[in-house]
Amino acid sequence: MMIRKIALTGALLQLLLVASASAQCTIRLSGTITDTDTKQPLSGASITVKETGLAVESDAKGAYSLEGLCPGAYTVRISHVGCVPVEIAWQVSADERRNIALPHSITQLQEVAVTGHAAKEVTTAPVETLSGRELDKTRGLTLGESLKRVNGVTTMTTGPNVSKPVINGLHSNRVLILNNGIRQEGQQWGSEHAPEVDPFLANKLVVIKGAGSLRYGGDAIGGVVLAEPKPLPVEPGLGGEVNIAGFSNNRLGALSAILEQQVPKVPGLSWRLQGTLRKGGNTRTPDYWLDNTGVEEFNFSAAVGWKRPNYGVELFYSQFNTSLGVFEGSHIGNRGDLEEVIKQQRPLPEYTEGFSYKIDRPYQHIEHELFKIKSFLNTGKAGRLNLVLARQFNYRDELDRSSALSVNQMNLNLTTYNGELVWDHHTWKGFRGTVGVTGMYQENSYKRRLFIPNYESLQWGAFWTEKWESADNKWLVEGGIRYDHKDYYNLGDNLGEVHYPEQDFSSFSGSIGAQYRILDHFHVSLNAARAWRAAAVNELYASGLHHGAAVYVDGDPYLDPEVASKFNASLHYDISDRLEADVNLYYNYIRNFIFQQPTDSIVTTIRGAFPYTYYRQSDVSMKGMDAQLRWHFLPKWQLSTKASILRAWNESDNDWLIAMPSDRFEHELTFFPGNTKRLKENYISVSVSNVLKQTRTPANLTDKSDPRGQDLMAPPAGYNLLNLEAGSTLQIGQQPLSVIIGAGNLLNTRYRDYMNFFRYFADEPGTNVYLKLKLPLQFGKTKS
Amino acid sequence: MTTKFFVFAAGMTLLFAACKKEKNETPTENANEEITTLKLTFTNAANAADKVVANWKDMDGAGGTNPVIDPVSLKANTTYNVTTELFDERKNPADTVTNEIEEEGAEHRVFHLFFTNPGASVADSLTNVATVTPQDKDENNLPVGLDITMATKTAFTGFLRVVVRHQPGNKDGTYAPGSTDVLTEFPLEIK
Repeated sequence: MMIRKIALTGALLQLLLVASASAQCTIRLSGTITDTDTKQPLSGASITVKETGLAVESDAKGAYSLEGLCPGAYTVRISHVGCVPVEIAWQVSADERRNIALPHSITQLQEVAVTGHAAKEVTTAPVETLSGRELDKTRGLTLGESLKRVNGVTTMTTGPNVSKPVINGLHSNRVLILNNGIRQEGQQWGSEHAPEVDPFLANKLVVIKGAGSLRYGGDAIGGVVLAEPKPLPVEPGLGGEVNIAGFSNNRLGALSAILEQQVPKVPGLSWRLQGTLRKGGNTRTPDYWLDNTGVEEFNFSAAVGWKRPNYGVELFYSQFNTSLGVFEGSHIGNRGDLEEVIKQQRPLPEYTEGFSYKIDRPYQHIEHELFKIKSFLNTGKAGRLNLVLARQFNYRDELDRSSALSVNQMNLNLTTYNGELVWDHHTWKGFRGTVGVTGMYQENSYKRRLFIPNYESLQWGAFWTEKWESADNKWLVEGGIRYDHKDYYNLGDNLGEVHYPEQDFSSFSGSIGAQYRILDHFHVSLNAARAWRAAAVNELYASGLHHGAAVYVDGDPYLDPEVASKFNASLHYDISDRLEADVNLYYNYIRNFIFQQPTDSIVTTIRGAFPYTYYRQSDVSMKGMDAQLRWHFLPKWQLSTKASILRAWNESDNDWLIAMPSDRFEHELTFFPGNTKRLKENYISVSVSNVLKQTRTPANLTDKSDPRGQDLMAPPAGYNLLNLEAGSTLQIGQQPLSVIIGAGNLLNTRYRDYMNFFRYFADEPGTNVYLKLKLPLQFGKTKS
Repeated sequence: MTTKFFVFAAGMTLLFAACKKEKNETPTENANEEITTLKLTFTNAANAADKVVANWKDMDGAGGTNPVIDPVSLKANTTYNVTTELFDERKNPADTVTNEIEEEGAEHRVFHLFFTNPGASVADSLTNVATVTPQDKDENNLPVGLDITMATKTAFTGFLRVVVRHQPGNKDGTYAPGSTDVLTEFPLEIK
């Protein structure tokens, strides 16, 4: 009976479900093994992947290389005569280099951290990863806020609850977000539409800067963000993780839990359940509360995978639900009201009364649902075939402030189907690569107020990428090409009265890059890419009063695609744990860059006058540098410094480009007190973030001396924020409990940010004290 | 057993927790209620036959064609009874939005202001053009402003601005609280 049921379940899963680990089985892990004490390379160390039995030895220089791994969670064991063998839990999703130091004598604590610093993914494009402790530090924040830890990533915000990642000045439709491998198709119609992703789902956030990520789409002019969950467990046992975070400023609490299991009696069958609750109230600036800025969020996901050596399927379902209060003081009547608020320099007292969890009008309610089937089939020794099918559904409800005089409400329904068929080929004469086709169908319908019309869209693409590494590991060359076609059709309003011109776009994208390892600890990468992006629906067809922004927005159905040519040069230098330096220089020339141009014209409506803005195109150049340095200058002390500099120039107007982040710097000093019997991985850090005033904004054409330029208000002053944080891992019984406690904006500094749309209305939040706990769970896990 | 339970739970979750989907089945119900017209009726208090009617009308809503605005011409040193009405004339029959302001009188205040220049700041409104006295009161005994008397003074050329302020919970008789629901300007001549 039991067996029959399990067999039935298995068969059902096989029928229904999806492939796991769709990405390439061509991954290489490499690095150097050294002695912790002498820092000398260790030759003849044996490196074994326990799950697959793959074993290699380090060479005379201590170098090792494990090839042909599929994405997944592995345990890598490293041993050497006279050293304590170590085991590293390694979650693998792409090529990585990791230097490993082996403790020399038995007298040392066996728990000593054996991994080097954060592993570097091997690619010619600038890539940064948040995982482990760095990711723990962001728990409880939105995706956009979490990504701010990555150098060169800033945010574009609309008040305390809505933030979108900005990579080297580019955002919204120019940044692709892959939620568990699926291109997030939400409603990115404006600055106040944040990505609908639960960051607790991911145990790794990867930012690929630049346009070279052809695998994910030719339109990632700004870059790609990957929110990647841990692969499903492969070792029998029930496990999980609980995360709790609390923040003082808006009294926000977040609780997230994961439960997962590899079903012991059914080889290859694993499942995971995950859920998140977040609830916060009004935010407080140093001087006043922002009424109606609460947030409620409820997310969950479920995954089941069945994996055999040569084939597998994985089924994934997730839902993201949020309600966001919108500060009522930001929903103003017309331009006159806006000018009044700017003049007052603070919101009217009726909008700053006190704390509450209540969410009133105006508010947004958003639901996002993802259903995905992933499957793979090994094609002999040559490679592996992956098929992914997904459906996404996005519902957005926006309610304006309540008034008897208008039903200011808008509902949007966006349904997206996408699929991809991809073949990864294994190493052949040093080449590894991927070839694939992708397709997407999308349908949008709205209710009540017209802002984005009803439409359908069809997109398909084909790509081919290859990577070549020299036998001595010194050279890495990669390149690829992609073709995409996109159509918008059946555009109209719900009464069938308005019809918009249909549009279709198609073009090639490509990228090429090379990396040369000059020394073991020093490498140089160059990367060039061409990418293009079809204008988005809001840029083409949006028309009307922009909710709360007090501007009239006019789309242009005849916008040309943006074409970006991007060049990256990066240097990476690291000496084990001592010193690490990264410099990335970029130059991005974008033809037909689409942006919202403010004007002096006024649209007269029954509600009064509104400034007229329209989507226009210019040729622009963006050049800049992201640099960071980590220096372990004393055994227990570390200094790290980040700098992010951007110059964005409108070549067509021969002036600065509007709405670009200013230069910023961050300095952090960390003290590691060392382990005690109960407390491990301890640190205390103090950091200063320094954001300069954006002085590079386009001038007002009729009055060049006007400090406001083309804006309604001059950019706010620069600011410095002081932050303090401490963390530790406590051993509670068999379970390690990770604790992080800290305070953001410790000095309660009053400031406004140029990239926050709320800069017109209100100050940024004041001091925010937080506590974050993470407890990994294991229930009777059988140790192998 | 645990395993079976969780597989079952996962299945149930998938089945029952589907998202809200609001397909639009009744497209004609979409049209937002929008005000197309603000109508002012000036009746000479001394001579009911002496009437001036002025409309501010924008049939296609924000954007599109410009609104049609009637100029207002009044006599100097004359008292007028003035009513302000709002309509959605895209509905048939036209919807009288004025009723909704009356119902929510405690949240609304209608102002009639005078300016030399269009679009001028509220602080620049002129008090020497005419004396405006509201004739209607809300439940808190504060004026609403839909019915007023306007006693003109000497000759003047400029603009009459009619503003409906939405002041939920904070109406105190002054202009500042709340936000603007309606703002229209008429060219005004007093002679």
